[in-house]
Amino acid sequence: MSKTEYVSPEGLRLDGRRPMEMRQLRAEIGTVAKANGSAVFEMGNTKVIAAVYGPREVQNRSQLINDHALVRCEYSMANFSTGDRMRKPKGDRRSTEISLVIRQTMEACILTHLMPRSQIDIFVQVLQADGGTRSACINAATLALADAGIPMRDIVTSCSAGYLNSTPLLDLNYIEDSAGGPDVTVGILPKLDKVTLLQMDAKLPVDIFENVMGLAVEGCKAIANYIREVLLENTKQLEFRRGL
Amino acid sequence: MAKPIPKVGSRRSGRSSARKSARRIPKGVIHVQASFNNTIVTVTDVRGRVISWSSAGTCGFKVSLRKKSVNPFPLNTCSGFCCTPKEMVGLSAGEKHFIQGGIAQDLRLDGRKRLTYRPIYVETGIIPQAHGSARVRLGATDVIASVKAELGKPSALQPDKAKIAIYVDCSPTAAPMFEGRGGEELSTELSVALERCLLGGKSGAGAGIDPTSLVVVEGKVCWDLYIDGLVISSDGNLLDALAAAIKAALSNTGIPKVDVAAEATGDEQPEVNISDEEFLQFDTTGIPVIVTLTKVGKHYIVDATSEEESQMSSAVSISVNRKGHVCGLTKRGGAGLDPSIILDMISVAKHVSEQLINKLDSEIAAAEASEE
Repeated sequence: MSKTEYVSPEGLRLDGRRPMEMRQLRAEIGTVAKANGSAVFEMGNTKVIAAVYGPREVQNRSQLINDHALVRCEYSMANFSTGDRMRKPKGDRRSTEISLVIRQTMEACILTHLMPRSQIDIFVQVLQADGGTRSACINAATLALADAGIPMRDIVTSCSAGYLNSTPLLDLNYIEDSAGGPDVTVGILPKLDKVTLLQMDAKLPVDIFENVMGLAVEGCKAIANYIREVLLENTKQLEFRRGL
Repeated sequence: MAKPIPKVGSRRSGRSSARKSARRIPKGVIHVQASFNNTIVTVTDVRGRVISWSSAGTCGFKVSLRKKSVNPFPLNTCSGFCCTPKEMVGLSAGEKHFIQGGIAQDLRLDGRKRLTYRPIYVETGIIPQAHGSARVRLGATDVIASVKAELGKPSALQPDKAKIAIYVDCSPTAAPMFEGRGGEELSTELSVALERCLLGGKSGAGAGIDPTSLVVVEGKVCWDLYIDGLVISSDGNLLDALAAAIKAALSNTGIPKVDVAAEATGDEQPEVNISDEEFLQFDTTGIPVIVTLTKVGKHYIVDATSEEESQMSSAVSISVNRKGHVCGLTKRGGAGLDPSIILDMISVAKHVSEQLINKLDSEIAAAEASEE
């Protein structure tokens, strides 16, 4: 076979994971001291920082919304985040699109009507990109929003899944992502059991799509459990520090 | 608007303070009218009757936001380096007095003395994709530096020297004002200052990193070094933190050993083999540290926080190497300094840098040890 084998006959992927296995997750809350809320989220080698400022006064008066909060998001990648050094990373179409995706996803879960005439800024910074930055950013943003104490319907979690060598794969890394197969990114509200984000490229038969999407949703749920644990642990720490 | 909002407590006019004692209002409304030119804060009772008001103009903020971007002396009002979020500048008169008084008495807000650094934490090897990387934390200031090497060709004018470039990026996570292109000015300012302090002059003389050591074949092949700094969180003294991070990242850097396969003749580029196993380490003992002395009132302090930076009249950044040689100097801030004070500052910086270098070296060694 001339094609690269993404799944070995033993059922192992290039980085040694099984098809349904996720990369190692790590999260840390409160990494940026000056922000209202912040978090680092790692999925394997992908590492992002999210910081939330707000709710605060609207900076640009023309954007003021009278009955709910304005949510803004900016996604940026560090020069050193990719394998080859990037020259000019700011404001290209890809980051604008991802900013928009993150903004819409987070806006859907924030109870914006509780904070009229105010603004919430979400800044995500990619420190290392190894596939799944979109998902990692959404997960980091959720944690940062929770850290900032912004009222939300539910936490949003996101995970990607793909289909290579006739096997559905969970949580693609960079090599698998650039293999040209389909890449399904799903974001869910785990408690309400609703999908808020769904993106896919490349083509896929409907029945397989169902499998792949199901796998991604399972991934989201696993991440949700992890995030909940991290938040709980963080709350316990806060409680401890207050001497309760 | 991002104009400094004067605290209501800092009323200047005697009129309102005289009335303050007379009326006691359990509940009130604060109206803030912020425009590009001014910010007016009005305190009213719940029915909208004015109790008192104050504006940024009466508090002494004269430069408008619009004007500032075209101001020929932008450092006069809000020094670029001190990247203090504008809301920080709006300290109340009492807070300002407290900061200045503390500095005069050699006891700062966080209990430090004037010439004491905040504890410095170093982590190395945090970006596996780079040849070397480090994260340095100084209080709430948090920066990452990474070093990437690429094979390139030295310029025809200086065939025996490799190219070394420093780029700094201010992430919007550090402050909302860095959003979009907002951080560009500060980023450029920091990059240039770092290049001046660490890379020496155009000839490469006095550089902390020897550019000739990176040349593989003279005039043909060399390693170009790209040093990227990223500001993740900013609480003053970015320049010192970035310089420390770059020093740590460089001592963490391993550059693959290169074998020249065949000696090419004429203009041909020689073929090279890049080794996967053998790495060259840098000699980082010559890389200077930067000590920034910020002048507040009559005294100067090291490692100013953003609150303290907002009160500075001027600042001098001095890069000093292990031997005690001054490698670069930048003065910024509007107020002029007496030449004798600058000389005094340099000797103080030299003294402080000894402790800083020792502290940094031991932190780097500890970080490298824990990484392995």
